[in-house]
Amino acid sequence: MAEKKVILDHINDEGEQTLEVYQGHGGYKALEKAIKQMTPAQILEEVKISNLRGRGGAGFPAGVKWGFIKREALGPKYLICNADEGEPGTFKDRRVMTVKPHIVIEGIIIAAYCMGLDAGYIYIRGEFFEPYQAMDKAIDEAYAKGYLGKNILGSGFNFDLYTYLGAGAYICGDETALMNSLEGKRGMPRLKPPFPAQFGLYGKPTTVHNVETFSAVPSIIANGGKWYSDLGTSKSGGTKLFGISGHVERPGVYELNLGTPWKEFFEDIAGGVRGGKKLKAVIPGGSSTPVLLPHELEGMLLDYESIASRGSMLGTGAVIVFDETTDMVKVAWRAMKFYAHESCGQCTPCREGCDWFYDIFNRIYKGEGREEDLDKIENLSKFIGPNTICAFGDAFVTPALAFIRKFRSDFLEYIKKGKYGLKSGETSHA
Amino acid sequence: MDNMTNRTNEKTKTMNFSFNESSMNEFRRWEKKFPEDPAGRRSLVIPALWISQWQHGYISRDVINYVAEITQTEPLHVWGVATFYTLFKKEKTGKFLLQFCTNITCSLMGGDQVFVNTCKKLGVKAGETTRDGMFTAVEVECLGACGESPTLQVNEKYYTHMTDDEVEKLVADLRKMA
Amino acid sequence: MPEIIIDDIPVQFTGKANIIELAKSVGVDIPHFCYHPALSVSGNCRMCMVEVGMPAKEKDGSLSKDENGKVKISFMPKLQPSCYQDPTDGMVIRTKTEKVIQTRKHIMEFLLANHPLDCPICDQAGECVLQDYSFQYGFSKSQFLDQKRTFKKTLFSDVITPELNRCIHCDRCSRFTKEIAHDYSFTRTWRGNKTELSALPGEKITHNYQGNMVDICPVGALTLTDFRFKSRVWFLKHSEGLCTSCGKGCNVVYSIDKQNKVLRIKPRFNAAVNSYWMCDYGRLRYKFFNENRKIAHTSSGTEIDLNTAIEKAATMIKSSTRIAAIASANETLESMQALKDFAENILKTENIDYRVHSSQIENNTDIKTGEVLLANDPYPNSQGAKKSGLSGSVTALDILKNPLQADLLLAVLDDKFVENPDLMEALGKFDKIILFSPFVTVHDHRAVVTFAIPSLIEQSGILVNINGMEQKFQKIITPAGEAVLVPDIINRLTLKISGKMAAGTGA
Repeated sequence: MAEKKVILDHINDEGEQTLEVYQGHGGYKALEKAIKQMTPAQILEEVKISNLRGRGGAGFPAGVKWGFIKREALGPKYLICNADEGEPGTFKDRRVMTVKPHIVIEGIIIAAYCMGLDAGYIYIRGEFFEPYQAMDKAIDEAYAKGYLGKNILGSGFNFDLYTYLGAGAYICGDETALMNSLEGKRGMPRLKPPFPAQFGLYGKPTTVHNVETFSAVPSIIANGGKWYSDLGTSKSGGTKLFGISGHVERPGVYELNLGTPWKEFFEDIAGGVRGGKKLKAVIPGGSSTPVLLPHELEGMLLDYESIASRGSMLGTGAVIVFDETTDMVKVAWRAMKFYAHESCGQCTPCREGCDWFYDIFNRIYKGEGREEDLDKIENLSKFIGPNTICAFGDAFVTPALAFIRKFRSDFLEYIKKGKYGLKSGETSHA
Repeated sequence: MDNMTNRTNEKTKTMNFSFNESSMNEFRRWEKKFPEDPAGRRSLVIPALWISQWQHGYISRDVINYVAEITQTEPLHVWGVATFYTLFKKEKTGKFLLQFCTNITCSLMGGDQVFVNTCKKLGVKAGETTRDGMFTAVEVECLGACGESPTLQVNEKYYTHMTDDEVEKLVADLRKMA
Repeated sequence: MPEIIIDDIPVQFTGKANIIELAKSVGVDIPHFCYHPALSVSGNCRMCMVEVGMPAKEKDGSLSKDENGKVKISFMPKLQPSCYQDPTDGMVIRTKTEKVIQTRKHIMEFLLANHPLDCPICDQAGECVLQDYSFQYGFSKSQFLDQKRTFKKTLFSDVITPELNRCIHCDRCSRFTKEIAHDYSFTRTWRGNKTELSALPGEKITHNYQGNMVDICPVGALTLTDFRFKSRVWFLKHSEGLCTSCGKGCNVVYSIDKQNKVLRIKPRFNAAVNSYWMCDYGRLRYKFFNENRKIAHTSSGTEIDLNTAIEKAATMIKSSTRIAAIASANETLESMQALKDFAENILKTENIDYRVHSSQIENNTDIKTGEVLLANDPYPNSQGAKKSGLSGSVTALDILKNPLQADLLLAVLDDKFVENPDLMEALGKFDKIILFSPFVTVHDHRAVVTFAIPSLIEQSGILVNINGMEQKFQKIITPAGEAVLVPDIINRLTLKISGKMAAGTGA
């Protein structure tokens, strides 16, 4: 197997960001097909067959999500494209939006047509000024071509699409925090239920998907749900974008069939560990997914289930590679610093927990760790994830636990060399 | 005995900020994106803060009042929003805001050290501005460009594969540009 | 009627019910910080997490039963916030399981991680929810070794003294400001662990209900400036009463020290009147109860005993032909009735009235514009006075404007009258006056008699509020000095003048 370019097809071609070039490569044919030849029910059926799952991290089946929206419900219904790509290690959506914005737009319009939505917002993180400009430009082109606006392709279907620019808050990647942000509020996640399909943006039914999820839609319509599904495994249909970074020979964004063996991707496609060094660890799906050791990667396939069976997650497909020289205590410390900075501060376990975790990791890293600190993290962890309003609690607790469990001796080494040393005689070379 | 009268301190609004023509045009463009009702109006708070910052450089108290007025919200709401989001500058910074990503991948690739070295070379601590008002160096979270790390964002623009030498060259170029 | 089971106790409910309240109604206490029955549910503190289960169902939809035929309950894997979880028929709530207890302990630990250990110098001590829960539900020792969070000192209110280092971010204060005070002057700012409840930098909260923010703050982050360091709450006596600073009649609790001084007024829940709230104006006006009190009857400024005072007053009344009287809408219904009878039967005058304020003259029973509870009418019993027939052909204000038309003026004074320079000046124009006053006045030196009477917290009775609601209240402290109730003075005067007891006193 090699790379399978569905979303990334022609991504390196000159002018691919323009409607003209995109269309020259078959762009917007899927939209025409959907609107002119298919009913919304048929589109939904294809998406269900395709086995497409949300690419933002949670992996919720897209067809099921689309089915939540009651087409006939009165009043406006909204679509949100989550382009608040902030999960550390993740850089795939930025690439798609900058270089191939029309595939995102095309996917959005098909989804909106299928669900009977009235308007959509692409929520782009504030740092992504260049992708924001690229999306705006592409949207203007799509309006000019009649793909957006009133009576799209003579179908009587109206749909408006707008960009929105965030302002620096990782938590806005949570769909309800994102909606609050879009409503001009502090981006704090909402209590659930109600869920966005009933009570979303402005209290109206709303569907939220990641950039990559929408980008997969045109190919599903063009080639059929079965074709897409067959690209992947029986449970995870299609292709997935993987962004690999860190100590790797060829970092970058790659598109692979779900179920591609890890070994093939890492060694053959991405070139393995940089400089011929030995591998120490890999974060498979963004900083919130537990780190994996080399032996855990053996036989692993790149799909939701195979990675989950190893105690981690496919997440956003953001692979971070650590070679043998890496200081994993520092990596953990840096990750916790990030979460402490990004908690919204709304609920107790997260607001107090993230900072407490960072304090502990910081003390260990700065040589003031105590032996009982590691147990403390284990103990506190049990009461954070299950009790927070959103998934942020789990997002920092699970990787923290993986770091201290899998690199216990590294942490103990730090503690041993530090101010307080080891008391129990537990050797740091366990 | 009536301490009520003492407490009704009149909010004296001194408006020293308003949109210039191009900002107003940009704001008008944003207005079209949202429903024409109070909820839609409130959605303009973040765009209006952006436009203000692009024009004024940072979010001053006058900006807060102005944004509240044009979005028909309360100044305190605007302040609550402005302080939630890290990209809104609550204080003046240098002409060029050097935002060094030091998150996991960028640190692996030496970005944290590039940040420290740049601060040293510029003679500033993290968050400080050079005396000539040109540069402010800050550490930021993942910029979403890990494949080309280390990454540096200067105002809105990304610069990738940053090394000490690259940053030095860039700083010199920016100085010339200004 | 739908029913849920809380710790094995069935509870029926109707409409939209709240699990914390339902539990309370059957004696199950679910600890909470951010939930408040009068505010929107925020669900942020996570203290009220409970186990929630529903009857398990088989694939065919029938109830799933165990071998004993009992319906199986399937519990949600995660605990749910009982403030936010809607009860539905058949739901089973467990609040005492190990999982719940351990979770509470750890939520307490998270809340206390950054909370300073300054209880000995904190005004909230003794009525601090965090302190109580820490004792009931917390660990005795913290695992937290790190630097506690600190905030820069800010002063955002003249009523509240903030100590934000103690804040547990429950957000009650900000929700109260927006939802009850209808004001946008206080909210969450910044983010994460640095989230700070705050007003706009450099500005102060100006609404008239800030004391309530102190009341609902479960910790000592917001304390009442006026009460700061005055007394430990456990040294005070707390008695139920009514606020007397306007016609709303908010239900309150008076906190009294050992010298019988009022040190604080806090609102007391009454759904029909003031909910959980009261205004700062009423809250902070209590000092008149303690100051400048008249403790002895006087004649031309000289202290005299009650008998002599009665005699002097009776003599003067008997020798006067054109008597006018000013009643007070700050008296009880009982006192007003006595005065009305006295005027009719003994003074033989129709020149008696209570209306000294424009709202009384216009019978304005509205709340002040922009206020939530504060009435236009500054008197607590104008409606009672009206009901007692104390409105004469001319208003009290008119009586006061025509000093030459009366050869004797009887006036019942109160805190509002004494504090009003215009009224006091008008009183000075009368040649002969008999006063009934809880306060020393500038006219005592020239009054025929000034009777010392109790304040409204030194007696029992009924007040009728602007909505026509009769509210009974009980004496909280014994009257100052020799003060005697108005009806008692009137009885004695009646006996002295007519030889008969006053009507309705059952002689």
